[in-house]
Amino acid sequence: MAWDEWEQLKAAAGERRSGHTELNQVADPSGKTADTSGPAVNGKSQAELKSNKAAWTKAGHDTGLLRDDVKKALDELDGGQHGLGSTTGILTAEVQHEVYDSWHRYMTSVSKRCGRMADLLQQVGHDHLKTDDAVRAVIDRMKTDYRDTPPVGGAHGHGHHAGSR
Amino acid sequence: MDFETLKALKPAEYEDAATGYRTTSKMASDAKDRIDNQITAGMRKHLSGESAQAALKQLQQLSADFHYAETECGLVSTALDGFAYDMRAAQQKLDAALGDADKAGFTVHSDGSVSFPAAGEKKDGKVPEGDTVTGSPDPYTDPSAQALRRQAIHFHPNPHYGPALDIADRIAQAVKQATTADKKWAPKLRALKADDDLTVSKHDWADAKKDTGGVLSAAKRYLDSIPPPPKDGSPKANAAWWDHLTPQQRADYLSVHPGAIGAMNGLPAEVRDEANRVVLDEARAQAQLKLDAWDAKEPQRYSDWVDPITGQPTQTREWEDWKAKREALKAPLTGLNAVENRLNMTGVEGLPEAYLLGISPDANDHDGRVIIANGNPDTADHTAVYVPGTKTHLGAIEKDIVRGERLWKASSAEAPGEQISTITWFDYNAPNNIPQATLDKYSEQGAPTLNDFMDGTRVAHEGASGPGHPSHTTVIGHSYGSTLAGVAAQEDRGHSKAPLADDVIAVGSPGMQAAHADDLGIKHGHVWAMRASDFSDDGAVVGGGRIVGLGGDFTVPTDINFGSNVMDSDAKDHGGYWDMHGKQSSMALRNQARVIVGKYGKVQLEYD
Repeated sequence: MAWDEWEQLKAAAGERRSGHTELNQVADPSGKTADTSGPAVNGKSQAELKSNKAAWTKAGHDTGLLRDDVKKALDELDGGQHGLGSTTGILTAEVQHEVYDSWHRYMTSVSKRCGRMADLLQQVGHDHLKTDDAVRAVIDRMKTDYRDTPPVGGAHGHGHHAGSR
Repeated sequence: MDFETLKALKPAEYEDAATGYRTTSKMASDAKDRIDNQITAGMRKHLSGESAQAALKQLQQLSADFHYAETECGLVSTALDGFAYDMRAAQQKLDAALGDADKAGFTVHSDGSVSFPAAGEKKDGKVPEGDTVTGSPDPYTDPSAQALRRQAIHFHPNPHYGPALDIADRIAQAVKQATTADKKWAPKLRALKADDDLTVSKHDWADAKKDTGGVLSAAKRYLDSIPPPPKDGSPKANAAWWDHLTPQQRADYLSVHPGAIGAMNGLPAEVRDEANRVVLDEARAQAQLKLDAWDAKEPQRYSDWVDPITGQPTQTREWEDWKAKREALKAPLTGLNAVENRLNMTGVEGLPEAYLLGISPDANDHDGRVIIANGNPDTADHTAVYVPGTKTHLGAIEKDIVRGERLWKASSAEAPGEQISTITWFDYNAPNNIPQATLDKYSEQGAPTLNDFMDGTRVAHEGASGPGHPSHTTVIGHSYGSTLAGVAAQEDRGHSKAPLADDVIAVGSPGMQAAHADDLGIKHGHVWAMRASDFSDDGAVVGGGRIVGLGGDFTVPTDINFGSNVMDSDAKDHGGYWDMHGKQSSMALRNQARVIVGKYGKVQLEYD
């Protein structure tokens, strides 16, 4: 009565997500094939970056726009703080101020991250970053800046640590 | 907190601050959606290669930043609304006491003490003097103190003494109530501070879940003021409930009850998706942390004893037990990651937005719950619900998600320009094999769940698209999933009275607990069936089901006398109904797609 479960799993794994293997064969919708001419840089030719320039720049443009949305939200967040009077004697009010500071800082950092991503995407789109190596170098710098910082002590480790990044 | 501070506090200011956080949360949600459904989707559609993959990964992390901000700022907003509510309650008490003091001509001082004037029967020619009393927040804790107090009031020559003391007590109680609430809220709020870094880790999501619990319990009083969802929980009632909440109430309720909102039939797909994405992230984090903790307990793998025949050391029993448990812990994580994967696949080969309508690792006796839609069912012209069969469980759910995707692509190809939603629906305790499937418990619980879901889909669609334009619905039951669909179709429809769906397809069916298609309450001619090669395991399932009585009168849907439309199939085996040959859909897949989009004339039938 039972069928071969292993066969099923194998089949599923094999035919799964043709998207993943397909990605490498996605044709440039403009009909042009990748530029195979040009000198090799860092051991990789320009053809290695099989890309549609317009897609990169559009992604960059849209990512940059997110900064405007964050700015609007920060204005609202700040605006919500204006009415708050003195916090003396109200623990929750004092804490709220710390919470507000932390989220203001967080969203400002996120906005900057949007800007950096937008720059990266635009640069690829405008051919200023021509190789996978060049792109990787930029992204590696981002990874370092945005890496997870372990919490220091306390039950609610939210990454508060004594040292600065 | 003291008397003056409570008097001066303006709860509305905290509610205004809460609104600021709520707006931030909404913006973060919109930004996340734009990254997931637009920016990355556009990139996946056109780009490939190492750089694109690396950039997409960074964008996914940026999306996670926004999602984390959305969740936590939502909680901050609820917390501040809860705090404001608690302060109002204390202030109401305070204002009532101050009003009474005013009426009585008493003076209330800045420390909350109450002065009363001289009054009463003259004693020794003098009117009893006035005085100032300070109240206590708990004057009645000790019965002997209580008695003493009563005596003092009774014997005091000034009749104002008792009332003044009472007012002073009420003032002190109000101040204590506010102080307690303030002390309660401060740590809950502090827990909602933003992380220092922009990497949203599993620890961050685990913390978020804890924070949710913290805000939920602290905000009980405020949340109790929000009308709760209806007890009978029909999709229609749920939809009406949600409709009548204010945006603030909706946001606050969702932030502390994402699980309940995500599972609530009748609510808009977007709302359920929003809630379930939080559930998903928190569940994944928890599963990963559990696995990490278990990995830290790995025992010695090899014993010192060498097998004399093989010359190899043997694995210890401890290690093998540990490994077995590890597999059990890994399985739900694999499934949850498969779901997350789909959410990151929008745009690949034209895949539409995904809507997560149900997610739970523990539901259905730990088989799990995964309900995921390709395309929004609330606005779809055609909606198909795929119900998987025996042995389905969260750990192996990826293949079922992929089948939903293929059904979407094939259907879209058959009806370009029309809105299509295909839903992988797994929300029942699935039997492990056909003989076990005869136990009533699987269909007894599963069938009503499926019916409620279909009803909810109808209600939500009506809410979004109006009553005159229902979606054309198809249920595709595979293997035992078709049995479940059959039982569901024949269930008492209750107030709904609608059939299970417009079309029902039984694929590799061991029986639908009905002897004839017309027993299913589906419009005549709209029951379809398909099988694979009889010499494969499919034959075993269909034949086995017939023998153990999962059909009606030993009849299964692919039998001629069942009266369904039996479709042509090139499926090689029981799992082969959704195959692709390169970019071409198989015949089995195409036929299902044609039913889904209502192009019945194009369906290839076996008995033509």
